[in-house]
Amino acid sequence: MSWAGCCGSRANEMTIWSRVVVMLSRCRALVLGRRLDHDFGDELQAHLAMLTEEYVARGLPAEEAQRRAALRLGGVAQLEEQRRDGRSFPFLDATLQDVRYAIRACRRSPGFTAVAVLTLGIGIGVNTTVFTLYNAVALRGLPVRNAARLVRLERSFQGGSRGDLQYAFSRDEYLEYRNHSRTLTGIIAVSWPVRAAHADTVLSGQLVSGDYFSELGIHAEVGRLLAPDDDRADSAVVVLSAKSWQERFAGDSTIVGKPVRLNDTFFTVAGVAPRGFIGTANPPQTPDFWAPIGLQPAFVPGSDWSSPAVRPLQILGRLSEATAAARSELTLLAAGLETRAGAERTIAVTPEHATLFGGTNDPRFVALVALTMAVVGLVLLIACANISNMTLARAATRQREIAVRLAMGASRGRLVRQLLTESLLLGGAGGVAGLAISTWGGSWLWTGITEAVQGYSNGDIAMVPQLNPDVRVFTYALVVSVLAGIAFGLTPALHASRPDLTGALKDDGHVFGLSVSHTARRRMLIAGQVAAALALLFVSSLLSRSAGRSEGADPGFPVANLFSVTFNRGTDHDRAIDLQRRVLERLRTVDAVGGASLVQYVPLRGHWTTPIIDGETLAVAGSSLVNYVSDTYFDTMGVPIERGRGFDTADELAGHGNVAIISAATARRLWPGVDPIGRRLKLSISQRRAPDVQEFVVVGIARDAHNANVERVDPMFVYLPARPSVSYEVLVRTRGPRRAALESIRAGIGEIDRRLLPSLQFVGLEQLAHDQQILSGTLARLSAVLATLALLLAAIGIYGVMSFLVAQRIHEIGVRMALGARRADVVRMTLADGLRPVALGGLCGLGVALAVAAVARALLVAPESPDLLFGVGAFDVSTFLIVCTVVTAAAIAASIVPTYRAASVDSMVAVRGD
Amino acid sequence: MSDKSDILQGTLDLMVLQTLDAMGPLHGYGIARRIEQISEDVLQLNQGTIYASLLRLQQRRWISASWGTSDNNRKAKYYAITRAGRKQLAAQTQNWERIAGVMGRLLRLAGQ
Repeated sequence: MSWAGCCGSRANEMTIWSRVVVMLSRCRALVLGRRLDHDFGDELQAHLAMLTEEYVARGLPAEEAQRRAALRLGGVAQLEEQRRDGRSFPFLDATLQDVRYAIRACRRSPGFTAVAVLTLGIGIGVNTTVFTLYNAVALRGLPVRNAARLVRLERSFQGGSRGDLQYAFSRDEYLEYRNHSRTLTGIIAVSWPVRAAHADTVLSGQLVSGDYFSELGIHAEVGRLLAPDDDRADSAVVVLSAKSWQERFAGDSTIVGKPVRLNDTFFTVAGVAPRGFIGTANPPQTPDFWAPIGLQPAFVPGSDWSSPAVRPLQILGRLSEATAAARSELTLLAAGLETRAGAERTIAVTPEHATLFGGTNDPRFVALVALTMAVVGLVLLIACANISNMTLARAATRQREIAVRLAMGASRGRLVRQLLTESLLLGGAGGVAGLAISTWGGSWLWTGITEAVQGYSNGDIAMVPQLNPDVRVFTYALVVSVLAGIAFGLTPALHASRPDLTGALKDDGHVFGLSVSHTARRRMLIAGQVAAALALLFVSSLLSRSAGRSEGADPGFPVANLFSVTFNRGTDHDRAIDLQRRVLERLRTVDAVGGASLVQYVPLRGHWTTPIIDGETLAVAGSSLVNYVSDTYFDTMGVPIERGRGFDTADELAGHGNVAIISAATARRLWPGVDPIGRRLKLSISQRRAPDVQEFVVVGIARDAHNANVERVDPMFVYLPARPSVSYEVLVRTRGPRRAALESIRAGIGEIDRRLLPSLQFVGLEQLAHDQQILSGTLARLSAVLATLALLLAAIGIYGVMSFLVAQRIHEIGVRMALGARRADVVRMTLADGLRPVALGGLCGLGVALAVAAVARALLVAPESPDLLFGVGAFDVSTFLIVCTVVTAAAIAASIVPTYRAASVDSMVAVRGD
Repeated sequence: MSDKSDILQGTLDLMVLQTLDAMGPLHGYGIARRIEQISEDVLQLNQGTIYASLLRLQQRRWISASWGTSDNNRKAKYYAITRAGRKQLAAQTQNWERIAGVMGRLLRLAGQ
């Protein structure tokens, strides 16, 4: 018992229980606030009345009684304030008050609020979009039961190689883990995609273990799904995916039990998987069907999956213990099965959270993501800097109000809190707008990326990842909004709460006393944004123009009828060569084939460049594209020989001749104005490090074509005769209706060997050309969006800074006008001052744009690089003019309001500083 | 300064509890009047200061409040001590008496 305690000091009275009780009372008061205040007001009035009565009873007149009573009670307003402060949580109360005040302030300046929310929405939206994509690809679990614990096994190699190999396991390993692992439960296996010929197309499916669907918690939409029973070799059932059911089987409702022919074997359809089930990804495609692993011989004949050397399966499971424990157990089990040595030896097996893409902890991928997030983070920072300027400008007009509040006793901290609340409120509104933008932007960006990537991969990434916002995305947007609010609101709040108190009250008209260097920084910010906007606009307009031209690009050969024919030749080299010869012969007998030839690099798909040397002068003439082709190539491709002859001597047909056919452009480059037939050239034909320079005699000139890139004539091209005993690609030109032609080719090859059919694939050159063109279209769209955003941000930045500058100089403007300056002078002064950094930035931007154009030009030196500009001149005057006009117009539009404010300054008011 | 007002607040709380315990339910004016009377007008406070006490006591659930009618047919808020309040009163009274005893002995000693 202490002295303080007996005198009733608070601290000692409070036990845990009483603290809880008090807390509850305060919470109740928080909710009921207003009513309690009214209540108390009534109580005080009653008290006052009773006191008055007492004085009246003592004989005082009514008015005097009232006065005395009021004195005796104490100030009613003060008592009410005391009660308000004590009944609830003062911090929360103050915050609520701040929020209400902030909402009112925002409503008072709707223009500022709209611009700020728009800017923040763009900045936060861009950030959230990138994060949404990253989340969908690398963080989010698959749409299956208990996705959080679903893992995919990944092995690490001694040699450190990365890629899909890390997820490949043999059947023995799968069985070993399934039977002996204690840290993983529900282990299932799923193979890499297998192809199956069905009717006239090819389906892509996966072979899975019997418990695949049950472990993932998937139920059939129609019929039933695979069960553990189906793992026998004699059970010929398949399960279709919802997509293939709709597209290939027309959503047939009687599909269950129907036979379907895949790769010459009949299977029974057991059922259809639900629409939302996209498989277990990696690769991120929805398979057309699932079949039991036991049916492997029907899909991948000639491959022995029971051999430990074959690793056709991915293994998934659920963690029942900590990752570290699982890792050590799995590594131990793997060591017992390891058959390889050296760089290919497995040193660890780790369970990795199963996501849409594998390999998302590959450091290169992480670096790319980090870089992207840094770039968009920078965009947001710039947006915040813009809004910060605008906020400062606005705070300048509230200077007097703030000074009065400070004089009346508000603490600086309280004032800063209130101003910061306004910023956080704007940040929150921007976050909501940003989330909205990101839901739409995410799918747009994904479509763009997959379209562009499709041009460079043969896969069909038609999967749409789950782009709807989940908890992570919401949290991210929230955190970014709060950070943004603080970023742009803190500095203005700190500045605004520190004005020269007496100066403001004396109406000195002074503003914040900010130093010049701040202004210089602001101007640089504007210049930088304008530069970026101009450069982006320039690039995007060039790309857009070239995208327009790419539609009609003609590569110089009839792409519509050209196909490359690929099939699995097996591992025996001699057999492969023999097969190649037989296929070529057979194809020539097919009616629908207009021509067939061998080629090392399929045009528009692959290419090879090597240094080319003039045979006589021995001068290196740069690099040339080279291809090995058989004699029928020119006929097949429809590229005529303009002078000289093709490969026709017996030597050449046998592949022994050292002759070459060059393109017209090559002839012009090497021997301008001279007949090239009979001249010699040297090439290094080795594709390894050690050069192997050989000499060739030119026997013919072929017409120019676009072999490497659809939009660009090959700067130099040399055709060499196909060599014997080398495996090449087969190229065919079809005649007549394409479908029928491909069917007859398929039939012809089937006659040679039925087992070739499952792996038979046609790749049309038309598709390859289209894929290349898509890239330029996507780039054009992407850059257009970026340019618009940059321009918008720059315009807002100009508006913000000019508003600030005008507010800062209102006093000075007033003085000038009082001294006789006209409105026109003020306008001129304001515009000149505000637009100077714009002009500076514009010049820098032009410089950057020119540099970019120069770089694009320089890249063309390499013959194999694509001409993204499709021949549009990089130094295009009209483009420059248009872009400069647009930027100038935007800058002027942004300066209208501040200039108007400057011009409409009432000199008397300004001088007085009100 | 806050130390002084804290002690004052604490003793005021005690006085309010005591008043309510002895007199039964009372409204704010009544409590203030009673305290003035008991202290024989030594304590000259603004009557309004008891409301801070009343708030604290209410928050700790040592008193309860309800609207009622006064003798003059006026609507007023009446406060009454609760069981927890009575317990608190007893404990604090004990404290005070002990302190008073000690202080008394001390001062008498000092005087000697």
